[in-house]
Amino acid sequence: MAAVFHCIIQIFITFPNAKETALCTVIPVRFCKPNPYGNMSTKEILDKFEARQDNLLMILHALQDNHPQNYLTEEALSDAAKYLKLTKSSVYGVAKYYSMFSLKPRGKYIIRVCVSPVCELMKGKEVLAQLEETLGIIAGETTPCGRFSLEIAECLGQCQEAPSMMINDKVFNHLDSKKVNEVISKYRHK
Amino acid sequence: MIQETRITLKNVGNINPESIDDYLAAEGYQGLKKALTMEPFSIIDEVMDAGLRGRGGAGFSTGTKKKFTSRSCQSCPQRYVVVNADEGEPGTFKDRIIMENDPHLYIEGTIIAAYSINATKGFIYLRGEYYDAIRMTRKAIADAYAKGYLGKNILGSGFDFDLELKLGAGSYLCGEELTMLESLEGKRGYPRIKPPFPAEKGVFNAPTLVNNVETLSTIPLIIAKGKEWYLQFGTERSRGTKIFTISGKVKKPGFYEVQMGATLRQLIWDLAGGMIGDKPFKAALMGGAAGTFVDESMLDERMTYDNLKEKGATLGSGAVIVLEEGDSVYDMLYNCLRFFKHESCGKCVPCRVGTTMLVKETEMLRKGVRDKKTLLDQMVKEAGLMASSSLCPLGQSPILPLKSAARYFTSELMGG
Ligand SMILES: Cc1cc2nc3c(=O)[nH]c(=O)nc-3n(C[C@H](O)[C@H](O)[C@H](O)COP(=O)(O)O)c2cc1C
Ligand code: SF4
Ligand code: FES
Repeated sequence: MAAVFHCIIQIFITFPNAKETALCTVIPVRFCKPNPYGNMSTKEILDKFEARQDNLLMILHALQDNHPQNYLTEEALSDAAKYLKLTKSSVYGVAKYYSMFSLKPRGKYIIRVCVSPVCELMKGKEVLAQLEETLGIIAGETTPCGRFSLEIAECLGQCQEAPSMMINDKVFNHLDSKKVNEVISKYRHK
Repeated sequence: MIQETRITLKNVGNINPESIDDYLAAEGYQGLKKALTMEPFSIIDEVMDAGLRGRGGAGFSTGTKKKFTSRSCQSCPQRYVVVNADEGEPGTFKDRIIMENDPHLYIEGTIIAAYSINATKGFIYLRGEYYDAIRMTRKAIADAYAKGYLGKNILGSGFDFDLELKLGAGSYLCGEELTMLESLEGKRGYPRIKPPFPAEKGVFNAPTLVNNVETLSTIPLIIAKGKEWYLQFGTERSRGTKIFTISGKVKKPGFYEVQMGATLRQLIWDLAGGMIGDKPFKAALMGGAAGTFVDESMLDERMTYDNLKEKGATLGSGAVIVLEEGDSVYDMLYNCLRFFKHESCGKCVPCRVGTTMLVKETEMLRKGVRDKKTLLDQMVKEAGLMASSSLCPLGQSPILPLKSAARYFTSELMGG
């Protein structure tokens, strides 16, 4: 039953002109969580690193990347703390300090839009406005189905082809309204 | 018409960055081979005599820094090299270009630098969002190990050196060298107080040499070809070449390596194709957010560390953001000040309060305050106070774009 329901919803979600929000608000979130892909256990991840404090950032990156919702869970933080023999609060402090780490669930795809000077000069504000409009969320939020999170970023080092954004580890440059639409609809189908 | 002088960028676009064999075929690792036959101190002398200055922004003599690091704390069991690959200054992408297109070059430079100060361990602190640079660097490190350029007894010289890649996690402040050391140790990115400098107490309290990617990428060539060869480029006090990243309203934005002493006019019109639609030039922001605005009166100034400094401008990271007539200097300044507010770590009051106030006051300039001149003067004064009382160089930065914008574009900042 759930599978059928999920399937119908997927069709809706992937419908090209569909607005995530409009559809997702009527769908219980648990049905549209992306499937965990190639998940490793926390232990498997930790075992890849020597138990030294200077590995903390690398460990947090690995734990976060491994989570289908791109964030650091309470358990992940405790496990990392235990592994490195640090207090949980100090690990929490580190995770909270760095903007690439998230302590709350995020989308499968994290969109980072550059708002630094060159992108602003090259009409980057319109890109951000368009993304907010199309996704129905504002920067800092995640679409209800958990597909996209929208974040603002400082200079992504792509200024020669501004305005720019990233979706997970991919860079998209020379953005205009047409290109933003193309990219987003591609990721809606992914 | 000037041309590019591609020294550091000579392989970019010409070799496959994933192939160590390509790099070797392009005379790669020749500098290292030669270095390993030299005395460490003579490598330092060579770099010093070549006049190389740090390309990370401050322009400090690389040879002098190496000398300090190699001499400090003789009883310390371990010395480190840290590669500053945390490029985050708005408008700057030169290090990314090197790392994505010629990763072995900066790794070779790092190994030579390590040998010259007798460091047996090094870290590359690479910006977390630079995924392609990370991929290339990972592969290059693995290949360099496989071919014996890293690890134990490098090329049979008896010199051991391990190099480890560490990722940043989205903090501009961690590009500042002392903050980077904290972050490398797995802590929050709060700055350390200077002195001690990294040369005395760096990562894990050991003597540490921190250099920028571009700086290190210049070293293999200086060693392989000799200082005389390098001395033919640039000016007397700013030797060699510099990679400028030019963006904004020019026809061909991108990265250009030119001899030190080129002018902004040459950069914009000879290399970057001139202004889009041949519109008039209005301003450039040089050196990124922690940089300075200039107007057309600076177009013919020679871009060297010292000449620009004398004229109240900065070379900084080599970022050049070009504005055409009609673009808003106010908006750019506001953007820079917001950037500092966002990136301030909040540890010290002058910077935490100051960056917030400057943003508010900039907004007030547009909200019908009666005496805008007084407000603007007050802002410059506050930024000056911040500069003198903040703990770390981030708090000393907002004065740069603010004061220069106020100097050249007073009426625009006050107008609305
Ligand atoms: C806020 C701040 C950010 C910085 N970011 C960088 C950076 O991203 N890359 C860099 O090489 N240097 C950066 N620096 C400069 C470094 O502190 C340091 O001067 C540099 O790594 C020294 O290397 P060099 O001598 O090879 O230039 C930054 C400085 C400050 C104050
Ligand atoms: S000057 Fe700013 S960034 Fe530096 S320590 Fe103080 S609050 Fe933090
Ligand atoms: S300012 Fe947006 S990529 Fe540099």
